[in-house]
Amino acid sequence: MVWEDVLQQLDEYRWQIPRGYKPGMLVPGLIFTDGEELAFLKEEGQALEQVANAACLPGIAGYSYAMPDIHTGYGLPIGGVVATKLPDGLITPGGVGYDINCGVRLLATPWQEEDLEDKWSCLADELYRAVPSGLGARGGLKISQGDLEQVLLRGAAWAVEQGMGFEEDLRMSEEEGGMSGADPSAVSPRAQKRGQGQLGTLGSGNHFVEVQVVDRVYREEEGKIMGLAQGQVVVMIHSGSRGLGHQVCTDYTRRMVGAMDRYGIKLPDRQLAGAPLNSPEGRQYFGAMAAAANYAWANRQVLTHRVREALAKVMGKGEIRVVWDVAHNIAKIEEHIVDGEKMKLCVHRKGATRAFPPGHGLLPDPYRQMGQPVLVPGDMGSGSYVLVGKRGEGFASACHGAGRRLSRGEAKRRLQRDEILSELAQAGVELRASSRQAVLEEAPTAYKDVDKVVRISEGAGLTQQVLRLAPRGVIKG
Amino acid sequence: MSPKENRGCRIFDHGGDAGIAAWGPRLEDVFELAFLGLVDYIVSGERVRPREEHRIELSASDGEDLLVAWLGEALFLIDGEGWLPGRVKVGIGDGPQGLSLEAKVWGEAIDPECHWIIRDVKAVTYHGSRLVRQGETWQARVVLDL
Repeated sequence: MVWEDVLQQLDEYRWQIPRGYKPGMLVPGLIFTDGEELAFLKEEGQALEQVANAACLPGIAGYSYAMPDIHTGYGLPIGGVVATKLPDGLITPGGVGYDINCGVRLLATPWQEEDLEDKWSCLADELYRAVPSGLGARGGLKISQGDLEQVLLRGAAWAVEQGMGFEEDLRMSEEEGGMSGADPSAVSPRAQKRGQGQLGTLGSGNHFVEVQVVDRVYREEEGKIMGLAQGQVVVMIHSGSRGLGHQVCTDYTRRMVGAMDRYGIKLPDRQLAGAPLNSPEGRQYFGAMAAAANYAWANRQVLTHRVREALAKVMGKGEIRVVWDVAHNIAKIEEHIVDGEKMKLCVHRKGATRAFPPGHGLLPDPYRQMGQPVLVPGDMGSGSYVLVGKRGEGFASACHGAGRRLSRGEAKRRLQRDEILSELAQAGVELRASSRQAVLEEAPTAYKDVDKVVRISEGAGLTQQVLRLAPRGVIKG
Repeated sequence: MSPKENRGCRIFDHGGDAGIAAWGPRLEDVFELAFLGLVDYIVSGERVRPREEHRIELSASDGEDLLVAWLGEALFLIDGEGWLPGRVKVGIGDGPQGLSLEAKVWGEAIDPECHWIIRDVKAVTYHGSRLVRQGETWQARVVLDL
């Protein structure tokens, strides 16, 4: 396919795939990107095809959107956002992804860069000890079946009740760290078994705990509202629902594949398999997905507790505050205006962050007038960003990260571990990784330029830049 | 596929992730090769001793669905049961939904002293899954979420 002839440029940062591109498209595709990135997407082709495939979902509203960090996924591209109309639009596990409620949490410390001076290495060691990372389940909390049910129902609130955090932590989190509508009975025994030993573990791959320093302030006022300023030390946690979430998506994708004929649904990619929201399969998946999302929030809360303990050991007493917690693989029931009409939608965000604009009623007090904080992790060598939601386009969504440039296999073949370690050391980054593999696959050069992704997001009016965070201590799973 | 070998398995790049391809003269061969290839991709270390036997029964409407479900069993054995498959015997026939699979898997509990999980495979996806017969060879392909 020659994308040249298909794509229509709407402005500097918006390209449209028209409805007529392929049979079955119910809405156009809309990609937020720039000319240079688009050239790469056109050559690669698959991610754009996935945007068009997602436009075929029954009940889809508006556009099949792709955020500025779009890259090839399965079913939906990573960076894909689609919303389907209630009551009978499609809900698809492939539109959420396997790591349900993979997300990012940012913690503010009371310390400045100079307070840590000679303690970076010691802090990295202590965090590596405190946060079980890597593959397998070792180091997870041992919880009973009853506790697991509470985790699935209540999310982070369960961990706070166990003494692993504070009420205020919950207020500073999307959905207050727990989504309603969770149905633990819809989570299979297999998924529960995988979840039981893994709570409080980081996982592997691109999951991390990073100690960072605020190295650039673009908007002082918004920074102040979040309690963040130049030189301040912060901690970013990136993790999700571990094996429990993976199994929920596996179980329900298979079930939906089996049910599609019954509902007369035909889609160009089986990975998009789904069922009407008001069908038994649709309702049960939503209940199981919300339960897995709650598991992920509880997981990030337990990790927060472990980070607090590690910081206290090295730095002594000091308040470690949750700035915000975002989910970037999730489906939620939200109200949005489409073609001038207010409607209730099931918004699927897969590798995309919710980015409510200023004044949105679902934001907690300190952030309501400012807009929702959007946390965008970059690679472990360059930096991450704190943005705020601006216009609310794309069902109020924005990018979620840098996006991979090299496949994991290619990174392993092309890169040298020693070179990566020496480059990180030169940049003043203390890395603790559970494996050689993690160093190679997560190398800075394996990722796209996060600065650019964030610039496109701002250019398109999705977000505004507030702060840039430089990594100093990195714990990789 | 290497023209010299009529059976085998390899890992390929897919976007930021990877996939697994297997080929062999019988349908059962590709299921066995892909299963053990996936285990090898996830775990490294000493040879697995066939100390215990697991039996697996599955049914599916078509070959791709059966393949995705079958490889998902490997992920669950490793991550859910902490158990490492080392040898496998698959039988495939007609079933109530279309196809059915019966398998025996021999292996042992993961021993962290001698088996190292080197990769987290979150799931086996349906995206681009393929199971076809070309001439005398069955070919299978699935994409993994890493």
